[in-house]
Amino acid sequence: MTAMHTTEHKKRGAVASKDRARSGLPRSRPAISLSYVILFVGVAIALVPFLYVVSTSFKESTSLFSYPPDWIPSPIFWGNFESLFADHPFAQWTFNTLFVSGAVTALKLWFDSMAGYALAKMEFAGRRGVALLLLLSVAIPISALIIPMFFVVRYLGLLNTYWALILPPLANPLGIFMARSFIVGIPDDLEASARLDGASEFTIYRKIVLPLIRPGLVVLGMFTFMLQYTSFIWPLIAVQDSDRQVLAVGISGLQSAFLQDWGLLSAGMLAAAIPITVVFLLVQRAFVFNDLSGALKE
Amino acid sequence: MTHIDPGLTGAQMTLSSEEHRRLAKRYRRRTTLTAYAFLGPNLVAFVVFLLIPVVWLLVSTFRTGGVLGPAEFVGLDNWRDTFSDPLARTSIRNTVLYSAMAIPAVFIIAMILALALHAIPRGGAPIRVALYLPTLQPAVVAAFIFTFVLHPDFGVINYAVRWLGGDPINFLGDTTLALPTIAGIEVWRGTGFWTMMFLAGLTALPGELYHAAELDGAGAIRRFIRLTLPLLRPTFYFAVIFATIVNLQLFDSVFALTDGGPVNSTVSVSLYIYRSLFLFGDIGFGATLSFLLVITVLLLTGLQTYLLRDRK
Amino acid sequence: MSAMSPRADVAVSLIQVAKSYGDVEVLQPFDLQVAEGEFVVLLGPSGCGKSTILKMIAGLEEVSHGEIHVAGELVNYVRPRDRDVAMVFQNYALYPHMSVRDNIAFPLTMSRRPRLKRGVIEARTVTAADIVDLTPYLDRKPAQLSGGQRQRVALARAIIRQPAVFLMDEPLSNLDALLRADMRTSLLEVHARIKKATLYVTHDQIEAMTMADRVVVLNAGRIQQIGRPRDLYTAPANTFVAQFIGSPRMPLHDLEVRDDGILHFADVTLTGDADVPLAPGASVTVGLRPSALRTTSSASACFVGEAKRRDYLGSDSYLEVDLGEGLSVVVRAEADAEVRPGDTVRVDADPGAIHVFDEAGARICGASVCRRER
Repeated sequence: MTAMHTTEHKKRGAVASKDRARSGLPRSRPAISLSYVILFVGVAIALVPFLYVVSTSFKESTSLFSYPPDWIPSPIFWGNFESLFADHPFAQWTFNTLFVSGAVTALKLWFDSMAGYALAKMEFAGRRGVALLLLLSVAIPISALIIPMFFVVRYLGLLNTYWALILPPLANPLGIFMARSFIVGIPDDLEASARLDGASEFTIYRKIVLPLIRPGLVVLGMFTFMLQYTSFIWPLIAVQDSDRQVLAVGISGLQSAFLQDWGLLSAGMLAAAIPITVVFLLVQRAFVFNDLSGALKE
Repeated sequence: MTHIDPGLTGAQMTLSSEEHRRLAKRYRRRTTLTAYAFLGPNLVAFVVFLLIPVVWLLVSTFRTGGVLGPAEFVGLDNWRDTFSDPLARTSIRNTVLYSAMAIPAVFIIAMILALALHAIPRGGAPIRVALYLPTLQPAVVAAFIFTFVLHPDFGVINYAVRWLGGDPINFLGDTTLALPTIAGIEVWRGTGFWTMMFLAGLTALPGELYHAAELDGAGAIRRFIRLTLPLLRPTFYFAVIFATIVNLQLFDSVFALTDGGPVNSTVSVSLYIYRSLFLFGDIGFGATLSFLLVITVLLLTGLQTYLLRDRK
Repeated sequence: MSAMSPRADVAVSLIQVAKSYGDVEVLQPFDLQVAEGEFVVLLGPSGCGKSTILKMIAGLEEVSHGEIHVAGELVNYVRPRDRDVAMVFQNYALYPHMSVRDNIAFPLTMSRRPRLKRGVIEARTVTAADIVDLTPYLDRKPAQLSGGQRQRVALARAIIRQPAVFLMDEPLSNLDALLRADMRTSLLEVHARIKKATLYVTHDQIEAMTMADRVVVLNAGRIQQIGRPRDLYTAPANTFVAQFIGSPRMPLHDLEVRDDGILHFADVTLTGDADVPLAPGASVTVGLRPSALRTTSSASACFVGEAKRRDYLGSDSYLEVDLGEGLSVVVRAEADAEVRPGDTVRVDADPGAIHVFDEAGARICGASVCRRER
């Protein structure tokens, strides 16, 4: 098999998968109709709750609890959004979240692909030991480490800084194994050839490995970005200063601090959902939701 | 053509075997150093933010204080306290119960949706985006959204209940309903993610096998049980491990919605750990509880690895 | 270095080289010298360790024992990139995300001392592409090329480095038969043009016999024989080489030397052509090369037997002839000779047709003389 033509492979894979979609599973007319019905129900359940958020965010708090609820606010009230940006550092939260998530994603993709390359392709003393240690620690729940992590970060003098949010997630080894599973698929001869052609290990990594695993990295990147964007418990603990806070924690503060201002809260949730949705739609084209499950195969 | 002088084939080694050993060691050391340079950034983060905290946890389970006064060795006191603390037991029970409800539910629903997505000829892309929207929300946001959906007065569910002639249900105010409700919210949020995961697994399955099965006259359900499920084993393995690790850390939605109530029916381990640090400042107790959580997750994932191992 | 150091006109010198993985020995210690400009083929069945030798020379595998010298320099502990060798891989190992031009130029863009100017790189890329007739394809991606074209890209990428030694690991085995013959010719043309020492790994005896100045036959991690293609054919060192080279395969028969020191084969006697007569009572193996045996109508034929089976090959055909006593030979016959199973066939042997091996399989001598008994 000429497995080295990974890109060619990918292209053919896309075609083949359509083929499989037709050949593999039920494709009789009733089965397809049933599938559409199931998906319609699924999409409805996924989306209807958001209607509350959209609707409420444009209502004044006083008109909220009319019964039966009217879905279309009249008149459209912009005050919630004004308050969000005027009375709360919402823009700052958004920037913090995007900055921290972006930084974590970039650093993790970089570090994980480097480590994945070493584990996938290099022979070195202690390789099995390192791999086993990292694999075991995949199963360590981060929220069980919040107490010691708090003291470590405090000891390093990083509480209330971006660093407190960016550095600890880098320790999660899951991404290494995902990157490794992408890199294992690159034929050994390709790096061997580059090595003979005069490339250093770092050059092989940058010029051969990285371009070839880009589809996988897009998925891993989206996955990392999303986990980071939605993370809550650690920012809650590591950052006290509201100006350094991230969206998830900031929004939850809108609720508890001002009793139940549902209009404001909804506006916050709606505004917070927009950046990540845009990011998702942007990468969605390149985003063949790849099999990440290979990561834990040994 | 040139031919080799036969005298040459008797060429001797130019270095002694000690010199060879020394040079080989140096050469190998260089490749090992390169490998560790590649692992370096990760290993540093790993040591500082994972290894040291875990060791710190273990040490702290045998100590007390440390926030205000100096730490003091107390032997097994923390362990005794933790095991005899009824709320600690409740928190573990709640967390496990929550996972036992949320994980199977989200897997079954996601599998059905993935099969449906896999079966349809067109229109998949917008459906995938729509299904994925809940997954993109932080858990606290999902929780707040559901306060609308579940609201006794204007929530859509109670609207339906009233229309059917029942009394409005206070989902989050009821000790038996609160935890399943929290699990339901997580199912809503997680479905998109697992649907995409399973869909990716289904798409990667070899089509030829299905052709063969179809020719053998296997029906759709039989094909699913006999072929699809076993072939998806690696996907399930990843899914089960990952879902277990994530769900046993239940915190965000409980923190945002019930703060453990009513009557501690939704206190999770993570919430209790958080409280032990920020409410009562009992680090020894919190560390012990944390360490228990670490061990629980390690044992559970180990057990799952054993049960889902490749039996070839 | 010391006076023992290999001569400079030896491009590659392997001294007591061996390879093992843990306790598993995959290559027994061996010596091999390749002269400047020489084309040496490593031939053997899969898993015999031939690719391992290339990888050790390239630096992709560690050498367990012994020394490898390239252009007079010990390279055991030199990084692959500093060894002055270029390699062509079985799967071509082209960089799928780069154009043909970038693939070929890659080794030059990696060069640091001296760092080459873009114009120089471009000029040398065009020259290398021209040597392998790829000029019209420079801007394509590997996926858009045929197998033969991909192989030529890999060759150009090796040529452009102007290395001291070329290593080729079964470069033609992924091509279909027709293309393989063409590529064999182009490879030899390129070799004649650049005249660099080449080590070429293959399991295909035709490639080995047609291309090599010398062939190294390997089996199960051991060198069986090193020699010119002609030597392997006329004087195989052992039964393995005798059977591996030549088609159809040489049949072997285990016999015992009689007390009179004469070897009786069916109803004829064979006399060894060595100075020392065969030891009475020794167990030997006798092989008769099918392509050196032919049917004849002469009454003075060496063997007479009964035709059993006939393989028609177009240019000629081969008959299996039963000589009685459980012995049989395979004999070349005219393509359209009218022989049916059961017919009596007379067989003549050319000089060099018969080989005698000892119990361990090593060749003792040929047996060129044959005489009808009785």
